[in-house]
Amino acid sequence: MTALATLTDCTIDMSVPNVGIVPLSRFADIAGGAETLSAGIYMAVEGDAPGHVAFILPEVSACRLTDLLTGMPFGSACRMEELACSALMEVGNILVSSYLVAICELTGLRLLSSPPALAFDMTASILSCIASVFAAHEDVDRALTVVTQVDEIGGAISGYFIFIPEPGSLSVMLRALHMEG
Amino acid sequence: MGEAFMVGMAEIKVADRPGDVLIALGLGSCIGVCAFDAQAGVAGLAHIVLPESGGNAESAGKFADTAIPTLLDEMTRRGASLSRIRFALAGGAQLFAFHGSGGIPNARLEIGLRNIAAVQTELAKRRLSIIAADLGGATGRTVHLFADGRVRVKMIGQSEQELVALGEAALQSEIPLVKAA
Repeated sequence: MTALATLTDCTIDMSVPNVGIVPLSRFADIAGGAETLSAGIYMAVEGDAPGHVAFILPEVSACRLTDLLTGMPFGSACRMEELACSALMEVGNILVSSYLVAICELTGLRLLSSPPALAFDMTASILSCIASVFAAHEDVDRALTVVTQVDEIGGAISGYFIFIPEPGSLSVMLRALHMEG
Repeated sequence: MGEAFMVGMAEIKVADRPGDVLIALGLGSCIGVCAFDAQAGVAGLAHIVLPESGGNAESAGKFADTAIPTLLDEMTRRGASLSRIRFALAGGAQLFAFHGSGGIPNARLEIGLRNIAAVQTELAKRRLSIIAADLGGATGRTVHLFADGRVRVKMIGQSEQELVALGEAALQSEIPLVKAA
């Protein structure tokens, strides 16, 4: 989250992120429910451990992040206008890229990302669009999803990085972390 | 009191008890195919993720070309007749936008339109009639199909609306036939 601190020129404390691995079908419940509104920034991951990465930001947090980026007090942005979308797309791009860089540094793997895409909709709808990218060859419900919850500014902004490794990529990552024999 | 059944990605469910409801939460690029035989009182909902199976027989409910025949089979097994089944479609949106950051459209995220075309083709092949549709656009949808044939659709920023009552639609389409006789 240093990336966000640099970008907004704010001091941002990050609580210890919560990391877990869940089936994709369970993620919407973790993020507040299938029909809650979220912003989602998606990128495809290529390289040593191909997969899919997204930053999912529930509505309240998306609006607060927009306020932070545009220098307005919290509560100013209440809808995802064009400026807000554009700002979120940019910051999402930076955040997701930083997340990937962190994984690369941790694992020593080489990972590249595709250009970002942004959606603002029901969490389940966003997830289903991401799932459709890899659904042809995988069980969409059971797709392993590495969820990292991040809280900023004392929990005022809370979001989720999700990484969905393609089959085989998770073992590549675990091996890189020496967590698998 | 009826029961509510969640129809997840790649699932097909059939309901024939009054009061039951089939629900597909947050359809994004996926299509909710709602089918109903008023006389038999059998309703079926397929949550289709992708257009073509390409010979992949593992998950029939996932692909339009395998989900439609499976849905029809399951309904006829419960007493529905092909000639009486009426259809309503919802979904097939494209949620992700690519503006800014020199974003290049990711064809794999634009599956909605191909899903719509595939479902329409599968139904047309069998001369099955679509009574109502709420397709495409850039917004996700939640679909409720009640065991009496009512189809309700909800999108973000809008209240839930009735798309069609497939039971009444079936009766209407039969009126001209009676007159002709």
